Amino acid sequence: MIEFAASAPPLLSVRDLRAYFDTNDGVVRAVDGVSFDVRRGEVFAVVGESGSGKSVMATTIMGLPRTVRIASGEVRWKGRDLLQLPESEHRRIRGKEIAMIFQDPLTALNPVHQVGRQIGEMARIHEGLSRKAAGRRAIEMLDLVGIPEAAKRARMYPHEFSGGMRQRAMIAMAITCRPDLLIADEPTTALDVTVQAQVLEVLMRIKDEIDSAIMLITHDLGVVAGLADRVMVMYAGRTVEVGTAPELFYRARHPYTLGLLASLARLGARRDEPLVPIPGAPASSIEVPPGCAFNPRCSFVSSDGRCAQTRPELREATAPGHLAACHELEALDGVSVESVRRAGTGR
Amino acid sequence: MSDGLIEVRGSGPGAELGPPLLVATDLVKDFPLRGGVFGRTTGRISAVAGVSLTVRRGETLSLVGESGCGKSTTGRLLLNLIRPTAGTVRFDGLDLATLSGKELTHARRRFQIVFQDPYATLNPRMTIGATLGEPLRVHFGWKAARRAERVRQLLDTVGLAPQYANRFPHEFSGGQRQRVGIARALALEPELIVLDEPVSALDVSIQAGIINLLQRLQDELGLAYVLIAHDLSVVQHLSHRVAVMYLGKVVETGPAEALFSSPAHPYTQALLSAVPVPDPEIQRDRRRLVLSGEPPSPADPPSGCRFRTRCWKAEARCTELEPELVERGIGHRVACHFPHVVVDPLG
Amino acid sequence: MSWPEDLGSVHAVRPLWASAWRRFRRNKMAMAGLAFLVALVVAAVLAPWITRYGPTEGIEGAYRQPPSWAHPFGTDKIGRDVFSRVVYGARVSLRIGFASTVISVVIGLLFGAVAGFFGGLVDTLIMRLTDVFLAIPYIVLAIAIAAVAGRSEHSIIVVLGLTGWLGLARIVRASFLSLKQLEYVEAARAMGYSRARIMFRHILPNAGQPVIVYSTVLIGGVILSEAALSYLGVGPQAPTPAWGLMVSEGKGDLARSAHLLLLPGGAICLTVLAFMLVGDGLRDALDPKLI
Ligand SMILES: Nc1ncnc2c1ncn2[C@@H]1O[C@H](COP(=O)(O)OP(=O)(O)O)[C@@H](O)[C@H]1O
Ligand SMILES: Nc1ncnc2c1ncn2[C@@H]1O[C@H](COP(=O)(O)OP(=O)(O)O)[C@@H](O)[C@H]1O
Ligand SMILES: [Mg+2]
Ligand SMILES: [Mg+2]
Repeated sequence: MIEFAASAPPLLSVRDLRAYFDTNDGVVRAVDGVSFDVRRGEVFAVVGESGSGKSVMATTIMGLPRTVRIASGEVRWKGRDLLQLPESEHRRIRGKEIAMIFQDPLTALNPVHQVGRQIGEMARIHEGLSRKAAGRRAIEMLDLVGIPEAAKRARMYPHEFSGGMRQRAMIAMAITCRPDLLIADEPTTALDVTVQAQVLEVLMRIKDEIDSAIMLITHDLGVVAGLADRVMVMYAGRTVEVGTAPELFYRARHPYTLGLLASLARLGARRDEPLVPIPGAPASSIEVPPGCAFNPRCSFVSSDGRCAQTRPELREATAPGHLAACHELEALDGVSVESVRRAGTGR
Repeated sequence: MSDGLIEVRGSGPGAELGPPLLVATDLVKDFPLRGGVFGRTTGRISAVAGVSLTVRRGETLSLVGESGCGKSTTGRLLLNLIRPTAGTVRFDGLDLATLSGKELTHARRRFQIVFQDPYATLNPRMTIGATLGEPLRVHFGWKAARRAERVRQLLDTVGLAPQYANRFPHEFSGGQRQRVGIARALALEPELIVLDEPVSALDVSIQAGIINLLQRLQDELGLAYVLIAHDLSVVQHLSHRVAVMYLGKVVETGPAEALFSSPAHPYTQALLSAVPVPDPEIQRDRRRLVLSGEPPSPADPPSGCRFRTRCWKAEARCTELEPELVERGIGHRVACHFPHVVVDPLG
Repeated sequence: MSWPEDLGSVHAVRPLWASAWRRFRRNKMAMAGLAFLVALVVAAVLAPWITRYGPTEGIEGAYRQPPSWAHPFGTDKIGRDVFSRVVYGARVSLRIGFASTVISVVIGLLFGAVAGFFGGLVDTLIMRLTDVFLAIPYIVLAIAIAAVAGRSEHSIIVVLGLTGWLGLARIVRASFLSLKQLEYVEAARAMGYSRARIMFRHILPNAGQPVIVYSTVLIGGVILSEAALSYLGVGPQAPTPAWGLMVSEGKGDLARSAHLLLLPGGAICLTVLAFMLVGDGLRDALDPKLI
């Protein structure tokens, strides 16, 4: 069994989760083997390219997608497997203990209801608050996420809010019941950097205030670097590497993580230095290559053909709790982002 | 309306660059704001409010700023895809507004555009070969064999295999489509290309390849670029000069090096400080300027300095008097009553 | 030269129409509709070979017979074989359906495209024109034209062609309005292409899906309208084997010979239904993203 080396039992523990869609074009292996733990109070970041299964993974934990087929795995929440829970019990956890913030608040908020009412609804459903008490709670929450004149704004409709305000309102809704885990799926991708900074600041402040853990899903490694305690990298629906933020950024071991970090344009880098792209196109989740999903794009494939034949398991990389799924971990000892970049630019 | 042309020579990356190719003077674009039952004009959106720019042969001028600040509108004005409300655009001495239809068609060969969304930018009903060959037929009247030869050559230039000519856009990945979009812009051998968010829709691991391609094409073909982008890391990597826009106006412009290392406008400083850096140690220790609020509506811009509503330095004077762009260094111009250079905004 | 992105999996090559057909085939109802229409067209074309009697040929002594081996659909009150009349009637219905739809599509495409592409005053004028046409019931127009030009298949085609284009023009206009915002249309402008080229080569083909779907359903609608007009006596004249006319002739004897009403009536219903099912299937099969 995979060991993530935690002292206390984790809040959420996902093992070998596989969630497929049966479509006319074939089986979409949206999530195809994901394992990780989220501990109480930590910021756990999930990064990966678009289509790598981040959203499906998150919504599967929430028990949301109807058409998904769970092919294997378990999702333990405080010791109970959510996948085995009847819908009625799952519903009680959803929103109250685990809440979700979506990328696009305009589609996630109901356009025909006042913002305050939508926030209050959470408290009414899960805590049985009266209409009046729920209204007060909504204003309190809007205030908490830094929306000025909260009482007035609570009576407004989502389209009357700006993008950043809407995302704050989404956060307010998610934290109404003080959940233990907040899943934020690309909460700032649609926002400008200046507004992104505001929203992330609110998110972090809230996290301390209500003492919850955050699963932060994003493709922006800069955001991850600033906020995450631990990071999981996904590729083609699989966990390819997981570890603390410093381990991931400074001692990355999986060739995909290394390639991703090496490919970034960095502020302050020299203009005439070419960037190092990862060759090839992101894997399709319908025609997943056999063996390691990354092997067609990898520059470290082993000569014995293992990478194209057998799927690598997550193994300990540089420290307990830092795991990577690669056959060539030993050969990668000493490889760094810098060396990948140097090799790529031929310097 | 000199843009510090002479001063820039012999300094920094602008040194080897050629004479002005495109000169835009006091460009203004208002869009009517329609409302009511009969769709009458009820106001106007001041999308671009007096922008002057110069692009020299072989250089990259970047336009940066939050979404809605008028970057794309400026790009379209530069290419005469939309008519300015006021102001002129001279391309190599030709005033585009005075050209006849035929002359304009002829001039269009010399400047092209690459769009953001690789999925919307290619006609889904046409093969890649037809898309690339069409301008050659329309403008040069070439026969099929000659066109096919040039299409092969274009595909090769952007790093795509020649047999892709027979395929349709939906058979390509995002990165490949963007390469086709670039090939199409190159077909008529233009001297200037407007790149409107050319990599924003692409995954990071793919972005690097496109950025390298753009840089290589510039070096080989001597192209001038107007790069519109919101990712400042990408901007820094590709630009010789940068113009920062806020609510339809240029608030700071200058050589990329000067602007990134010693920004003088508070907005530029805030923008740079909000860019997440993918390095946990740097990112966590950065002193950050978090702007409050979001840009005001361009339908009703603030009086005086347009940035004053979000500026921490704003005083009475900013409300009354609109600051002019003032020279502060070699080709470095700032529109602020209280400019103050911050050295190393990243640290 | 190496091609950096060639390693990536490019989706299997699948020609556009082949994939549309693949999707269409999966829709059982649409396939049933299509099978019916194919059979109907084949029957109409081969009418002289699959019927034993002419459509207007009276058979001595065989009046108002119920369906039998000799006359599978029975005979009518003047001894004509109903099966022959229904099969020949398909020719009339299909001819009118297709011909007037072609007229509607041409007019609708032209007006819709021009209105949507140019917008402004042109658009307003064309849209007001369609409002005027919408205000005239086609039955009134049919009676007027029948009075002037006489009752015939041709006048029916003209009437239905001149009234059927309104919806199409609106659909085409709407697609043009949204398509002209797309970046590849702007890219075409940036390449210096002419307006006509952009309109017909870059926008029109992409507006194909709604046009094809609407036209298919329209054929069914036209056939129904034609039946209604024939029933009212402003359509083709007796003894033309038009389905609407046959229903009208058969309605008198419902108690004794229901087949005179039900069989041509059923042919109308099934045909209209089939066109609708096929239109529906096309809607799903012709994904606008691909076609
Ligand atoms: N309802 C669905 N039906 C079929 N495929 C789906 C569905 N939802 C997502 N997918 C596919 O699953 C894969 C993973 O999607 P997603 O989790 O949204 O990626 P990410 O959030 O990492 O960008 C993608 O290939 C996507 O096309
Ligand atoms: N065709 C148009 N009609 C009306 N308003 C427009 C149009 N194009 C852009 N705008 C408005 O002009 C402003 C500037 O837009 P744009 O140039 O697209 O900004 P950017 O590219 O910097 O995000 C925005 O407020 C936008 O809503
Ligand atoms: Mg997602
Ligand atoms: Mg834009």
